[in-house]
Amino acid sequence: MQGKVRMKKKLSSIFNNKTGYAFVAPSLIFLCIFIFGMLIYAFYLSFYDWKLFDLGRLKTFVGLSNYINMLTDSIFKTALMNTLKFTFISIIIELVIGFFIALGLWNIKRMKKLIQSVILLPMITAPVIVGLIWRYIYDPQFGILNYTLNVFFNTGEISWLGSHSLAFVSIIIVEVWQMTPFVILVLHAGMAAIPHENLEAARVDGANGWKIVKSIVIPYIFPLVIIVLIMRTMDLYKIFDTVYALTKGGPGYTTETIALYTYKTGFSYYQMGYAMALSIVTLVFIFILSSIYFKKVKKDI
Amino acid sequence: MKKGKYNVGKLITVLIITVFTVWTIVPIAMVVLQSIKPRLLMFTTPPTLFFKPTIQHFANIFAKQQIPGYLINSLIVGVAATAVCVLLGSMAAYSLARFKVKGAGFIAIIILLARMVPAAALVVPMYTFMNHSGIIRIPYLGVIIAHTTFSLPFTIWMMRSFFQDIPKDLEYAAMIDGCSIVKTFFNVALPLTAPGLTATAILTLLTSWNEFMYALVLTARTTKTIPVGISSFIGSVSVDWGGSSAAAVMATVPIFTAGLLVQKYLVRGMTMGAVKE
Repeated sequence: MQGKVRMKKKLSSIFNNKTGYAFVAPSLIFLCIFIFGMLIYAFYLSFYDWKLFDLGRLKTFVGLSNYINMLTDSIFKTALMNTLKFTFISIIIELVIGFFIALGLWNIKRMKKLIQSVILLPMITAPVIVGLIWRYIYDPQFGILNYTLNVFFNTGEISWLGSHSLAFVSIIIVEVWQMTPFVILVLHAGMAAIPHENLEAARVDGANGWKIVKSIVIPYIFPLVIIVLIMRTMDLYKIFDTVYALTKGGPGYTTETIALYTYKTGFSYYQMGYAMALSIVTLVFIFILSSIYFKKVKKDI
Repeated sequence: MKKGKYNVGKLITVLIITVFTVWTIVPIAMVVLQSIKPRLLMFTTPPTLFFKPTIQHFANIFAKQQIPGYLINSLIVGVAATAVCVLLGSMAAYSLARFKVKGAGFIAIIILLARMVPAAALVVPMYTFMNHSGIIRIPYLGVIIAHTTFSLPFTIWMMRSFFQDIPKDLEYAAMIDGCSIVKTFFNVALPLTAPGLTATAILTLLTSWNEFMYALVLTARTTKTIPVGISSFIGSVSVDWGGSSAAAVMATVPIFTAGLLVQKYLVRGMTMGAVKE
């Protein structure tokens, strides 16, 4: 027995520093060059001003002016506000609907697997294709949404994506359609993992439906709610594909988001220096948002 | 609790879930229907639900050759990015799961931070760098690198959780038999995680297949991936609903197949291994 332990000790010394670094080094080098290297590169270039076609030619040093310009850039402010509004509204809707559907799913027995397979389809569909699908649905003349509404309410040709007041809501609906299933599957996985003894004990104590939800289910899945919050915030904050496919930020700038604006600044307006500065600010904002969450999580645990 | 009340609750639950499932599936079913609907019936009021299906739209797509080309491009990019991610990622994951290296915590944080950097912040510097260095002129390479940047942290995290799930004893046994650490990794540890490895690879492939922003910026006319190809349809949606629906169906069938194959691991993957079903 002791010999075996000694053998194991000797063997585990093979898992030493040197080999360990060798195994992790290729990945680290790759990430350092193509993620952190790119960020440093962007930071450096954000102090310069040049056009997209000027690649390779001399760039003009402009100091902080790209960042200072941002303060008076009303489109940037609109894009930032839209992104934050969009992120929080979508997350709240997805969490509320997701929680109740997950709860319902947890309570039924038949067809559970089938329903889970069906609802996961939107979340693995390419966002560009989701955008295409919803363009058919929202089509003012031939879309099934206006058709259905007309059958019941005679609302006429509503321009879902072309109107200033509706475009934003229309995109949120698409986002909720696509990603609520993600929330459902995660929360349902959490509920399914609640030990039966806990539920039985509560039932014996006379707790009924809502009491069980409040005293057992919610505390049990709370860590998952936080995970969902973090993942969805990171995803929604960088929303690009869906908006690009649905409205390209229009009409006007009513659905412009940070990612879309950064992209356009670089590749439609050719202001590369300014686009670099926007990239840096995009990054800073997501880190501030995440650190707020992490602080909150630490407090709760 | 009275029995009657309980049944009403059950009925409402079933009703709500049915409504939700229908709401989820109708848009997808609609596109499938459009892709096989004859042109003449496309814009009727009320919408025609029953008709003799046609393969005309699919035939048109194959005749024009563009969409099949985009699909092949997507496959090339996806397979290459996945191969790199799985190889480098599982090695790094093995290191994090098994070795007691100094600074392992710090390395883990670097990988998590890398995962958090949004593509929106990377796309402009990445494009500039690849243009300066000439990488962009090598077919596919730029997109493959870009897709690797966001999938590699994911692969590492997933594979780490799979390595942690398997016991070390078999690896010890192999080493007693004189296997080197490299051989032990490739011949013993990696095969033991085969289901996890497959799931990780499929999820990486799926992410690459669906990615749009980098592909839009980093591909040329002949190397466009399928999301970029489909986005070019969008301006003219009103003209050809059948054709664009057929393209969407063709781009999505492989994804649905792959997604249902790894369904068991999907939630785990999307939460970076935090939720194990």
